[in-house]
This record gives sequence, structure tokens and C-alpha cells, in this order.
Amino acid sequence: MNSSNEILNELATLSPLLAGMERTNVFSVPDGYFNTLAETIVDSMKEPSATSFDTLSKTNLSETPEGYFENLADIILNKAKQQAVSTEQEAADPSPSFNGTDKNVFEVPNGYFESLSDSILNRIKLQSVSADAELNNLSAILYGVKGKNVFEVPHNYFEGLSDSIFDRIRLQSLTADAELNDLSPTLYGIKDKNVFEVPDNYFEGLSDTILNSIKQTVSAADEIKELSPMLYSLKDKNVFKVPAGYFNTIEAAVLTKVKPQPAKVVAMHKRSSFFKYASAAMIACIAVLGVYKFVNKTGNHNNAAVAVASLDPSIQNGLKMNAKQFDQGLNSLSDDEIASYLDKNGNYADVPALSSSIDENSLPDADQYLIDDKTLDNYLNDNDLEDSKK
Amino acid sequence: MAAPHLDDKQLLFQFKDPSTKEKGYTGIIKKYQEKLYWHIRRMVVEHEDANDVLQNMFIKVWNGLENFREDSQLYTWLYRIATNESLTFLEQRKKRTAISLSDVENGLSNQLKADKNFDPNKIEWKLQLAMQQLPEKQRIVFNLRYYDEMPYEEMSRVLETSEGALKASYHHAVKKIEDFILNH
Repeated sequence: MNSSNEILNELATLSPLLAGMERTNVFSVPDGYFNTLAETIVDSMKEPSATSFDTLSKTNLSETPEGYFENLADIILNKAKQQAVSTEQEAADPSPSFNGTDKNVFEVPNGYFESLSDSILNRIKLQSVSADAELNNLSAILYGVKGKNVFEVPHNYFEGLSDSIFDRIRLQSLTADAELNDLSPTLYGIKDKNVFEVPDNYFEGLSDTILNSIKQTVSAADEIKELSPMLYSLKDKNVFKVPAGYFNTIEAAVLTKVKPQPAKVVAMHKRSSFFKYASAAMIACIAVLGVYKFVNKTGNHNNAAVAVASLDPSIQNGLKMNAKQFDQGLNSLSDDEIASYLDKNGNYADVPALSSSIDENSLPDADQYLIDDKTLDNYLNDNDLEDSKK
Repeated sequence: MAAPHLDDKQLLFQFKDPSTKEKGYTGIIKKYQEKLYWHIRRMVVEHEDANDVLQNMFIKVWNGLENFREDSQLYTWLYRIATNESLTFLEQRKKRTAISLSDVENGLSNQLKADKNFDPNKIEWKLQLAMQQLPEKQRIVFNLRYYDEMPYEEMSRVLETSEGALKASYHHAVKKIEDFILNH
């Protein structure tokens, strides 16, 4: 150990404050304590002890005294009771030497000390009982159902368990074949007998068949190539001609029709409304009614061709026209021309008969048929001409 | 070189907006007019008739496009209208003609023969005559598949017929036409 100077120097280095403090002893010792200390110790060693524990300390510690454990609980219990009594006495009549305050801040449950000894005793007893007795103590009901097992086990399960496990272990190491033979020699025996037939060359052609199925959505070009190479070769030969620049005109023509146009005003001679309707119907179907008249007269549809040949040339020309040409032809006639034709050729159509067969209410409005060329056509098409035969 | 056509979605969008309705409409016409024209012309033969049907068809498009549900292709919808208009035209034409038509010859065959370029020895004209021997619906199936190369799936939506039936019809049509050409 270093000299005291060195120690002081060390302290001064570590903490000048502590090094500078006076060393004052705050602990007090009774007067003459040290003077009498030796004598006090020797005297205490000489005096015999009054407790049984002191007796115990003098005996051989490797042996447990007889009846030790049987008496132990009682001994502890007595001690605990003594403790409880002295605590009560102190609480009732606190000793003047007790310097501390008599105000206890800690609370204790009601009856705690009264029941404490019994609780401790029970715990001691429980530690030493069997599980069965313990269960019986805790719950007689549960103790009562202890032996009742709800789970069933197959007959001789446990007896055969070890063999089953051993078999499985053995089977794991077998091939599939050997395993089958092991499990069922019968099934093993018929393993290669196949009852299902497969068409000849089935597998050889299978890949092609499948590929064809995949290609089922065959293109139209391939389809016609296969169905008819001749037709395939004709595909791009177009016999139809189209007027030059036609496709540039469609858009404008259609737009004109879809957008509302101002109403056309068509001059019409003043006639009685009846005659106006009759003549309008006549204009549209003049050739047709005339021919029907002839057909009815011959009474034989098979002679239709002959009947046509005998028609007026103008009617024959009308038959060869398409709808557009027919309309254009009619549009080119003036009202006076139409009226004079009707006057001359009125016998080609029975006007009174015609008027009686026409329902005036179903006729299109004059405004409609004057503006739209197709209105009368549509009216005639909607009414089956066959019905107008007389 | 003409500007490329807008896709159908864009055209429909333009049409549905009042400020661009006309622009969308003319875009649709320009995009589909030729295809639809030829589809109609092969049915009605004469240019003037095809023009009439085409224009009527586009008028119906103007009136009906707002209600187009877009659950099918625009192209399919247009073809359907064009087909129906062609058939309606042919029906009306039959009613207008004076004589009842015989089974063998019909007005369209006569019109073909009346064409100034008609040559009965040329195979392409024989093809047209052969097509007129087919019932109208079968003729349409043949046209759509042979000329327009339309997939059966799409055709079934245009004609509202099963794909199987269409395929059978087309195969029969090809056989009939081939036989006619070989025998005339």
C-alpha cells in the first residue's frame, strides 16, 4: 500500500473537494463501549442457551431428530401465534421506547391475521398430499369423473400397434411393384391386363390431330383454298365497275339527307281531294295495275310471259327499269302530262273501283308524298297489291 | 396520302359529342364506305341500287348510332344494318316487279347479263351468275366469308345465326357454286 501522502495526493487529484473536507465521524458509540466489549463477548459465550434450537446445534447435524417433521408444523404455528399476540399488544399499548410514529400507513385486509394461521396450515398439509387426494379436496365432482374415458379405441389396437408401425416402416423401403405384391397379390397379378382399346396408329397421329384442333379457327383464305382452289383463284377478280370518284361523293350526299332541309314547295293543280289521292296512287303503280288487269283477264299465270309481250311498249319499258330509273321517269313528267294520260287511258284502271278499295284515311298525307318520293312507294309496299285485285 | 382512320372508339366518342357529331359521322362513313358498298353491291348488283341502299343505311346509322351499346364491334353493327337494308331492298324489288319470278332466272341474273361488260365465257362472270342461284341468306354468308374473309364468330353476330350453321352454309354454297361453274 502506498504511503498516506501518496493516497492524499491521489485523492486531491481525483477530488479536490473531498481532499479538502475535514474527516468528521458522524456515528456515535455508547460511552465505554469499547472498554467493555471484550468482557461482554466472553460472558455471552459462557452462558447456556434456553431454546431447543440451541440444543439442536449441539447434536450431530447429519441426523434429523426423531419427530422433527411431525412437530415442525406445530412449532411454526405456535411461533406465528405468539408473533400475532405480541403485535396486538403493541398495537393496543405501544411501548414508550418505541420512538417511531404510531401512525400505520399500510392497510391489511379484514380478518387477515385471524385466518392467517389456518391458511398456512392448509398449505402445509396440501404439500404433502397425493394428487388424487388433492383433486378430491379441490373438486369432488371432477374427482368423481376421473376414470370415465369418452374416447374409444379399436379392439386390440394397442396389441397390434407395434406390428402396424413396423409394417409401414418396412413398406417405405419397397418399390411400387413389390408394395403392390405385398398389399394384394391378386391386383399384382392383373396389373398388365388392359381392357381399353386404342385405335390403330392413334398415338402416331395424335400430335397432328391436336395441332389441327388448335388451328381450328382456320382463316377464310385457307378455307376456300382447301374447299375450292378454283374459287380461291377468282377471289380478286371484280366484275363490277364503280363510277370514277364515287366514294368521294357519298359523305356529302348522306349529310344532305340527314340534316333537315327546307320543305320543297311543289305546285299542284287544284283538284278535288278524291281525285288527288286516286291520281297519286295511279302515278306510282300505273304499269303494275295495268298488267294485273291483263293477267286477270287471261286467268292463267303461266301465260304471264305471253301477257307481258302483248303489253304496251311503254309498259314493257317500265318493267325493265330499276326503281331509280322509274322514279326519274315519273319525275320528268309534268302534271299536265299525267292528267292528260289519265284522261286518255282511264279505262286501263277502274277509278271508281279503285277509289272504293282505297281507304282514304290510310293514305299518306299530301305534304308527305309531295316532299318525299319514297312515301308512296312505302305505302304501296306496306299494302299488299294482291289484295287490290278485283 | 389520306390521313389514317381513327379507331372506332374515337369515332364514337366524336359522334356522341354534339360539337363533333358530324366529324365523327363522316369519319365513320369514310372508314367503312367501301367495305359496306361492296357488301351491298354484291347483293343488289346495280351500282345505282347499291348507292341507294348504302345511303339509306348510313341515314339509319345517323339515327341509331346514339343507341349503339358498344357491346359488339362497330363494324359488326354496320354490317348488320347493311345486310338488312340489302335484304329489304331485294324484298321490295320483288314486290314491285310485275311478273312473279321464276325459280331459275331472277331479275338480278338478268341485270348481270345486261351489264355491258358481261361475258358468259369468263369464269368471273359465271361466278356472279352462280351466286345468284343461292338463296339470299346463303349468298350473304358466301360474300362475307369469300370476299370479306369475316371470321365465323363475327359473322354469327352479324347474321344472328350459329357459327356451325354458318360454316355448313358456306361449305354448301362453295360446292354449289363450283358445280354451277363447272357445268356452265
